[in-house]
Amino acid sequence: MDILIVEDSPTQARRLQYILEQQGYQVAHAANGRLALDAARQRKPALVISDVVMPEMDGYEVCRQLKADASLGDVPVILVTTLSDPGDVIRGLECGADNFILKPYDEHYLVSRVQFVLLNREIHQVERGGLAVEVFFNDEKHVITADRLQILNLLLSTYDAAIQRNKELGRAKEELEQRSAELAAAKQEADRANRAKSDFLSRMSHDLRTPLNAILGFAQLLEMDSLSPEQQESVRHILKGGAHLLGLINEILDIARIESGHLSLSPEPVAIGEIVQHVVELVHPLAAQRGIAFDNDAVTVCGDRHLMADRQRLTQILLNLLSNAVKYNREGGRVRLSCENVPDGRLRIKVSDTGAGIRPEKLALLFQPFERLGAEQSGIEGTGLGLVLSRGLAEAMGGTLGVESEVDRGSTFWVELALADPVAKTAAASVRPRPSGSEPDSGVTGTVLYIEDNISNRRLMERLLARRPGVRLVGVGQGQAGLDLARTARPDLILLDLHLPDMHGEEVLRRLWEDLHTRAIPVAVLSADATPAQAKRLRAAGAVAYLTKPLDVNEVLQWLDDTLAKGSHPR
Amino acid sequence: MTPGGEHDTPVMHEFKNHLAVILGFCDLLLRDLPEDDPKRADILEMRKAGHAAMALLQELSERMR
Repeated sequence: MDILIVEDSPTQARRLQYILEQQGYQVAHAANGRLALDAARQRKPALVISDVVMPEMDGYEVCRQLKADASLGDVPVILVTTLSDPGDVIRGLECGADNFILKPYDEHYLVSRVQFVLLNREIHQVERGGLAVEVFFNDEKHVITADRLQILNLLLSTYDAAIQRNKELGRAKEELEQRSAELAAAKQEADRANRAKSDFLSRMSHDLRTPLNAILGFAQLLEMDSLSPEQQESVRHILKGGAHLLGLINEILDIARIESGHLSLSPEPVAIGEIVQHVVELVHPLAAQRGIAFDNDAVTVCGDRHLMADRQRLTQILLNLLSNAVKYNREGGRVRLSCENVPDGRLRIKVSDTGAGIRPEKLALLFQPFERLGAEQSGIEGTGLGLVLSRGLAEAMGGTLGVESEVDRGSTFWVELALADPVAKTAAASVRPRPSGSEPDSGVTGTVLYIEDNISNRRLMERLLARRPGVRLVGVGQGQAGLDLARTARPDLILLDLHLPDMHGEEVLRRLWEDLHTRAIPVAVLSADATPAQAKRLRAAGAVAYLTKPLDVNEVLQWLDDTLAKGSHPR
Repeated sequence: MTPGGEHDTPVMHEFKNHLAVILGFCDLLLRDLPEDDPKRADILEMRKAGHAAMALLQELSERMR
């Protein structure tokens, strides 16, 4: 049995031809309507399957001309269409089409349609030339001349197509639901893994910080003692190693916070000139050691422009970029700073050095954790985390961080952030001179209660207060014991750790405040988990100070001197 | 940085290296100071903390494997 395919797409035509030939049909193909009509006149097919959307002559017109041809009028025509428009049905009826096949079709559906149409053709003797029926659709009159059976078949095929589409939608919906469930499960697993990772890193960080704080505290105490030059050198190495490890822990924690989306930021309009100036001052001693000069004055370069950023984090990024520009520069090299406006209301701060530069294939590695591009062999200190963290911080603040480099000429690192309108200038944070509490004895007296479970930390405080003979230190390792002692011993000052075995330090603080006997005793919180938000919360809960571990021995002594000299404070 | 991930080794290495340096200088100081020097107590505290950190790292290394 001959079937004529009318299809302008060779791929579609080949597929259709293959499916039909597999079923034993003889198949001819015409690439357009005109060729199809010629082919049908030369050899009358048993069935025509025509695509609807074709150039020059569409499927409706092909069908209309076939049906108008006296010798071909009884050849059934199937139109292949998406049936996306109800008007397709009317157009199909108008042109006298016998059936629709919904596109895209599956093989089984196509074959069943073809068999159905051919079977109907054999059973029924089509009587053409019945009365024309006028149909109004979309405010237009359509004249349908097809016979009743043909109309019924065509309408049934549209109904069948709708059912077919419905089944497909049902299957797609099921698949979509399954995918959604899989995605939700994967997200849940990723979140769980992320939480586990963050928890792990937090625990590791806290656990490691405790011994490091002890090392740094005792090393600071030793530094104050009279030591031989060799011993001083040893203590300096210990302090440097401890500080490096503490910095590493903090960087790892920050990266973990960024990755888990738990980094807390306090964005505000920040005067960029001031920050750059401050960072240049911090890096200046290191630059001077290596004879490296800054080409320009940061405040002049950046003017009084403001950026929307977290002040502390922006300082951290710029300190990283500037100290890298000094560390990886050549001896006697130069560092150049510049600020330029970029589209979308952003500012790019550029830090250029005159170092060895980085080969293009190595540039991408710069932002891999612990990747130091061989600098570990050069003796230049670093963790290989600074740039990873800086980029993460810039992105967390809605900015970007990038690099351009030329071998033997140097590199330019830049950070780009949104410009902000300046706000009314608040009183500049007062920069306290570094306390020099290492004088033998300030003469203060009083009793200090230290609630801390870590024996090393209590021992450190004991050794620290040995420099204040008039001060008596009472140490306890549990929150409840601390509360009891505070009531009975009435210390002049309470130092409180947050991580206590029986209750959290914040709870101890709350109970001290609630008890009228202890409310007046000033409480200072000592903790290694120094986030600005936590410090603020503790101050609001009544703490008079928040001292971060590792303790700066001089700062603590100075603070103790000041607080004890003032006597009892109303909280 | 992922526990058990490819970056465990560098971070562990970094930690252990620096702790070893700290412990080494503690030992040097102890060797130099006479037995009755009061500063020994502080150095022994530092050494104790350094060993505690080293033990902790060892435990973490094993858990990461």
